[in-house]
Amino acid sequence: MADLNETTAAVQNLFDVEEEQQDTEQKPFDRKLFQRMLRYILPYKSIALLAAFFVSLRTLMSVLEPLVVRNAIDKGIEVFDFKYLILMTFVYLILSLISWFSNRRQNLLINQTGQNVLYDLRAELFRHIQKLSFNFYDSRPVGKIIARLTTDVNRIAELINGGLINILSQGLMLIVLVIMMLILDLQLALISMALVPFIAIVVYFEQGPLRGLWMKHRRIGSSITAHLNESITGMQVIQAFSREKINSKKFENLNERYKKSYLKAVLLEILAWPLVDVTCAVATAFVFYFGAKRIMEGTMSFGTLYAFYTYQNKFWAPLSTISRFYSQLLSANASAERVFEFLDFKPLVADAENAKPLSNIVGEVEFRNVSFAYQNNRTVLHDVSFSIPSGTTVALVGPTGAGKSTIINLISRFYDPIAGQVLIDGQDIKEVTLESLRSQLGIVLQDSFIFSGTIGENIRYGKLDAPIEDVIAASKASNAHEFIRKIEDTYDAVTEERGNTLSTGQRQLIAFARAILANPRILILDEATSSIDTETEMLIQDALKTILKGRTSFIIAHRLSTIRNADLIMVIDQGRIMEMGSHDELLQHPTGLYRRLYETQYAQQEKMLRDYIA
Amino acid sequence: MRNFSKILTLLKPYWFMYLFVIIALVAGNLLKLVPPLVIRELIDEGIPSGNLSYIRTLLLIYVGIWFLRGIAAFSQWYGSETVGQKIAQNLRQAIHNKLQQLSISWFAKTQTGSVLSKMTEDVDIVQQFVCWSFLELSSNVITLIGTSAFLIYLSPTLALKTLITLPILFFLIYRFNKVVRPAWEAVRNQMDTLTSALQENISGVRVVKAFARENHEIKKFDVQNSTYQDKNMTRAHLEARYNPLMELTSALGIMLFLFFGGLEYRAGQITMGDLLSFNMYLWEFMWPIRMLGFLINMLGRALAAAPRVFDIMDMEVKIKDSPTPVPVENIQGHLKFEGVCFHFDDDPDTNVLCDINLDIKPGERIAIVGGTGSGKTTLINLIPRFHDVTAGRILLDGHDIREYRLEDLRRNIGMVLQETFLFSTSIGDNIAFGSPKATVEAVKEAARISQVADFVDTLPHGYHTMVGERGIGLSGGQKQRVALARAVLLNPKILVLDEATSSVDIETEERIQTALESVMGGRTTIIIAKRLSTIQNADRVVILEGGTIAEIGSHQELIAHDGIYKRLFEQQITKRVSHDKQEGGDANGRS
Repeated sequence: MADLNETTAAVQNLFDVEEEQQDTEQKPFDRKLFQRMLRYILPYKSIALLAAFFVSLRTLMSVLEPLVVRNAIDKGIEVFDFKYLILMTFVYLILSLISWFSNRRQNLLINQTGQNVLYDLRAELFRHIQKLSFNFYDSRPVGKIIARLTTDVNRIAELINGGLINILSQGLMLIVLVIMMLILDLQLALISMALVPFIAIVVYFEQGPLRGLWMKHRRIGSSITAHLNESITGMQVIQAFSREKINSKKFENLNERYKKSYLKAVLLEILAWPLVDVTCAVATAFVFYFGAKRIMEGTMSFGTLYAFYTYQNKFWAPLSTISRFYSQLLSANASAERVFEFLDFKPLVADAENAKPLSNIVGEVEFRNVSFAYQNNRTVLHDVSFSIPSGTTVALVGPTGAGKSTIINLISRFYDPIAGQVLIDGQDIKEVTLESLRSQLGIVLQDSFIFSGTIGENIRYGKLDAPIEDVIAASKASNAHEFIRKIEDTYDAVTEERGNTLSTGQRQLIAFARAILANPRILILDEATSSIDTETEMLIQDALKTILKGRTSFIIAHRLSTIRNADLIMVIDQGRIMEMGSHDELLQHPTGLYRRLYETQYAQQEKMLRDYIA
Repeated sequence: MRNFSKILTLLKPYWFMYLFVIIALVAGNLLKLVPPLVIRELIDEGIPSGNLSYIRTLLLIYVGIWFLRGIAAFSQWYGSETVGQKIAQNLRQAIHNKLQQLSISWFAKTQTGSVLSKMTEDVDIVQQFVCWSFLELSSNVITLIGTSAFLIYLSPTLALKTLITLPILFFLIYRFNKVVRPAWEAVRNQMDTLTSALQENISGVRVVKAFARENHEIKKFDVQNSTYQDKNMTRAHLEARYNPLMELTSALGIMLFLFFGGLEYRAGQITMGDLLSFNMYLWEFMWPIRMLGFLINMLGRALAAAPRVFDIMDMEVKIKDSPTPVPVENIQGHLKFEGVCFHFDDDPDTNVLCDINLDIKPGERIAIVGGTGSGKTTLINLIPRFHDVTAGRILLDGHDIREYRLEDLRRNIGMVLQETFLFSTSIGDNIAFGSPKATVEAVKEAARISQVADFVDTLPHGYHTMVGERGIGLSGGQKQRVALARAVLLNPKILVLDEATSSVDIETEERIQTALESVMGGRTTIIIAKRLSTIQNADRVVILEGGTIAEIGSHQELIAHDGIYKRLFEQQITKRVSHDKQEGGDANGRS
């Protein structure tokens, strides 16, 4: 059991390190960040202003209300005047109606602004991450990306939605109230405001740590999402290895820290509220004390004392709202930092400023002294140069991790080389737009991804307007038609996320059809046939012979038959091209890597054949 | 109401603390009723008597009451937050634990994003309801009862005239409650769809980029994003209609008070102190009523979120331990399929596997061969009970596999799945995934057997190198070998390999096989493979076609028999070799 705990602890530590590193970057309220958040409200200036107008109108009504009641008490009730009482009642009714109308409008307008901002921010963030290169996705779990697009975006919108307009109206209210109180009675006003600095100091000193606490809580929250996402997608492995208990234990730990971090933050926040209430009560007591004295002296009416008392109560409410708003602001601030971090993430591979669309290509591919390293600095390609005439079928051969996939990733410009150039038809692919480049490439990856939708939609993925005849033709070419035909609903059959209802081989056939339909000049098959059975693969290869005709293609495969049919075989090891040539040429080298590879496999097949014949 | 009472049962373990919270709440609310009385005393007795020290005493009491109220309020808030957090924690844990037990077929048809949004946002909504809205709701009811008692005590006639607006209010509350819940349900469900769309896009980002379909994806997401906005606006419209109306109705109550209160004071039925404290109570009375609209909104939201959470929690666990499990000692690895059939739940008419009879002796090596979709993967998924058979049974050492504890069963089966999944942790932890107690040496040995040790040694951080969520940064072959090492380290009696080396080059595969044989000899091995060399080494080959066993026998037997296997074999060897021989000379002439 001790070892088990140690392993979980080790995993835990990794998360801790990450969190603590970020904690040290803790900053106080960041004005630039706030201004940037505000910018999202700009397109809805007029709606927001209108909302603010109605909010202010409503505030004004609620300030006038005690005055009406005071007048009713002093002039209508105490010194009875029926007409005046009716008048005041009527005025009160008008105030209430205006307040109702403003409330209604304000509610709608605020929601409109908030929802628009939410929509915009989310759409912008989504659009941005679509542009980001693989290096962004490589290092981030899916769950953590999702958390930023959902929870964090929501938090910013909440601030802009309710918080900001609310705070404007409360601020306005505060100013009007102070003025009203000063007009009503200077002495009482000063008394009731005497305790404000005390509250301000408390709020001020509380906010620093509060922000850090909320940020920590949020970070654990996104670790939770990441853990969940991984648990769900990797559940089969978890169950196969009976790791359910350890997995639950790990989650339990995260869950516990999530709760604790919340309670810690909330304790600090909650402490302030009763403090405000009690301070308010003390101020009220002073108002009543001096007010009572003044009534006894005859220098103040009951109505004024009433109005003052009402204002006094209204005066403290915005104060606690403002203090609460501040924590909302800080919480949104923490989210904004995380959202903007994504928005500011520059795509590693992006269109150059003067990128031109790549015109219809012939399909010549050239590498000029290309070197490449992933971010962990391990160089995977060293000074690779080659030139492939159009229409050539190239097989990339070599042990796993030799750099075969990297070459393909560079042709597709999923990454840019750290040195050298990749050229298609003599044009550096860095100088053309990504879309024009990739739309002329057909790529079939090792793990085929199926989107939720229909089989037809999945095949059409690269060419949405393709007629069904073309879809069927592409499926026939990839041999997918056979099994699709047998499914109820055929091409309209619904596929689930990750295509879980299809077998891996079937998914791969669909991925093949997808690439064929796009009718690319350059076709890239990255171990595309490794999950298809031999019979199907042979059929695909027959089809490929016609498909490959006139197209440049790069194939990574392990099967000798696939490799030897290629026009050119490139043997790669440790990031360098070791040998290059046709099957027969390469076999001439008695000590060559290819020959060794071939002999192992060929000898095996020969032996099988001999056994069979025998 | 079922969901409501279900939410309440979550409170059960914390009833003591919740009781404390409620006591604090009641105390706080009762204390709230006292200050107006103090003020009335001050106005009716204190001021006319001119006794300043009496006024001072009254005001000290006033502050004292507020102080006590502050303590009560703090206890209530903190207590309820604690209970709420504990409940949320329990909910999340319960769902998480449930997920661990649900069958693989459930995951196959469930969108990851929708589970995520349930476990994060919906749980939060339910928690907020328990620790905040529900308490506030009860607090408001208490305040309402308390204040109306005082209103009646101060002046029954005035109370009656003022509260005449109440029925309208209650009607509005009733209506609002009815319409706002479906609106919230729509918002919550759309959030699911949105999260799922996101999840899918991010997981499939490689395909998106390969086909340069970013703009298409943006448009697709935009639909979900704007639908979410629409659903929210529908909800906002309802709020904008009802909330201000409720507020207006309560304002009319104050207006009536002003008018009738004036008349009653005039008639000498009440004092000025009565009037002012009546007004204070009326505010205390109206405030919770105004809040009711908001709270009902929250209630609607929670009741929309709760079933989404409970649905997962109540999901029946189909594959579970037998109540009287057979103890596991010394598994031999004797597997026997007896008349096994299998179909998926949602498609009972199509048998994926049917009438499978197969007796696999301990230590035997079985290769399973068949076309795409012939049921190979489903067949091996039945062994660790990823699915349960729908007819027939599978015996392990003479016992139905359903008689073993799941964990015991699976601990004895080492699986390398077709789709390699690595966790975002270090390579070492990934290898030790099934055997956390393994020593570093054992991990290295497993890596050596799987031919991944050399590669790991070249990494700057060796076995501590982190791999991304989907094992990014490693090539397909490297991922497969890490997954293989994971199964090897488990040292199981039964090894199941589903295309475990399809992405590994042939040379490496040979080395893996030799190394495996030396360590894994004597273990039952079931292999799905396409390479003839792998298949040929098996003791027996099972040919699956359309979910049934078409042929079975050793390589030699099957070759001798003129059937599918022979055809397959000829295709792969004879045809290819002779084909190659014929064309060998002009192979490079082909374009």
